[in-house]
Amino acid sequence: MTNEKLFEAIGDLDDAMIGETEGIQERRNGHLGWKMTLIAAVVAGLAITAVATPQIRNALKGGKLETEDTVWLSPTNPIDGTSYEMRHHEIRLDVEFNEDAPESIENYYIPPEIPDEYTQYLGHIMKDGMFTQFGWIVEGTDRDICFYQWAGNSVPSEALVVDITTEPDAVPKHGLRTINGIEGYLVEEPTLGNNYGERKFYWSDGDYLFCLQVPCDFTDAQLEEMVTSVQLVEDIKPYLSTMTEQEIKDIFR
Amino acid sequence: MNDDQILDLYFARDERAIRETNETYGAYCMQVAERILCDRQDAEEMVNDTLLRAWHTIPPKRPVVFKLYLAKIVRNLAFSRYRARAAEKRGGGELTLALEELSECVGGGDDPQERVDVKELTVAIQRFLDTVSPRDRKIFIRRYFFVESTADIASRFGLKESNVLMILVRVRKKLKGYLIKEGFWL
Repeated sequence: MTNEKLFEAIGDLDDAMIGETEGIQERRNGHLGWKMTLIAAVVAGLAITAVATPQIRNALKGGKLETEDTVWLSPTNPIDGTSYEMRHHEIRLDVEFNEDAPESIENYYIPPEIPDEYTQYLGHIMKDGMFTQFGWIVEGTDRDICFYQWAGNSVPSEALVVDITTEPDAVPKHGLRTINGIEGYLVEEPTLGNNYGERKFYWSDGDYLFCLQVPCDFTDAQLEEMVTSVQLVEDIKPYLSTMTEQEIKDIFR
Repeated sequence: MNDDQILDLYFARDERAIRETNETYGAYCMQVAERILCDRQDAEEMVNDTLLRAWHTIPPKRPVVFKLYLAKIVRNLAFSRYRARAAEKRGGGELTLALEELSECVGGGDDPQERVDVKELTVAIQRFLDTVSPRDRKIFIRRYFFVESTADIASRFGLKESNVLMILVRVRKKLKGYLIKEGFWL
C-alpha cells in the first residue's frame, strides 16, 4: 500500500464525515448525535482596576453548550499502558461583530507582560493578516500562555466553537465573566490524562475577537492581570517569532 | 438557485445547469484544486473537467449533497493531474507535504503483486475515524481530504499551529496501528 492509495481512499469517505467539516449537518448512522443544553450564564463581577485596554464595546453576548452523547476512550498511553474515558463538548460563542469590522487586522493587540519563566515559541500573523497567534511556554512542560486575535469579518465559524473534553460525568465550567469592564466568556478545560488543563477567556470589541489562554492553575487574579495587560501596540514586528516550523514541531516531539 | 433546482436542470438536460453550478460552486472547486496543484491554470482546467463530469453523470446520479459530490470529483481529477506531473518531476506544495505525512501510515513501496482494494481501505479508514474525537476527525479531513495547510487549519479551529501538528501526528500514529491490525500494512 502506498501513501497515494491512502490519499485516494480518503477521497471516498462518506459525505456525512466530510460534510461535518463543512458545517453540513447530516445524521450519521451509529451515532446518537448531540444533546443541546442551554447555557448557564454566570456573570461574576471582579474588582475594577486600571484599564490598560481602550474602552470597548462588549460584543460577545454568550455561548451555547452542546454535549455529545458518545463517551470516547483515549488512546493508550505507551508509557504506562493506561487510557481513560472522556466526553466531548462544544461551546458556540455568540458574537455581534460590527458591519464594518475589518477583514484583516489593522490594530494589533498583545499581552506584553509574560512571566519570566515562559519562553516565546509562537508569534505569527497568518492568512494575510486575518489572524494572529502568540504563544509562550515553560520549556519542558505543557504549561503555556497563548493569545489569539481574529479580524471580525474574517472569523471562520469554527473559531467561534470552543472544544472542551472532560471526564464522562463532569459538567463543563463555562460562562460569561467580566474582567475590568470587559465582558467575555470563560471556558475551563480540566487536566485530563496527559493533557494539561487550560483557562480560555474570549472577548470582542465588535471589530476583533480575542482569546487569552492560560494554564488551568492560574488564579483569577493572575488571569485578570493578563487580560488587563492586553494592549494595542504600534509595531507588532518585535513580537513575531523567528522559529521555523521544524523548531516548533521539535518542541512537541 | 438551490441545489435541488440546479439538479433539476441536469435532469431536464438544460445546459444552464453547468452555469449555475459554476456560479455556486466554481470558486469552491477552484480552492480544492488549487490546494492540490498549486497552479491556477491547471486548477481552472480541473474545475472545467469537474463541470463536464457532473454533466455526464447527472442523471442518473442525483447527489444527496451536491457540494461534496463536486468536491470529490475535483479532488480526484486534481490528484490524477498531480500524479501525472509528479512523473515529470514537477510539483511540490501542500499535497506533497500531506503525502509525505501519510507515508508514516503505510508499509512501503507499491508491490505490483499487491492489490489493495481501495474501497476496503476507505471502509477501514471510515471505521477508524469513527473512533477518534470529532475535532481530531475534522482536522484530519481538512488536512488529507481538502489538503488545507496546517496554518489554515489552525486559524479555522482557533488552535495553535503546533497543536494541529501534534493532533495530526497522533491521529496518523493511531491510523497506522489500526491499519496494521486490519491487515493493510504490507
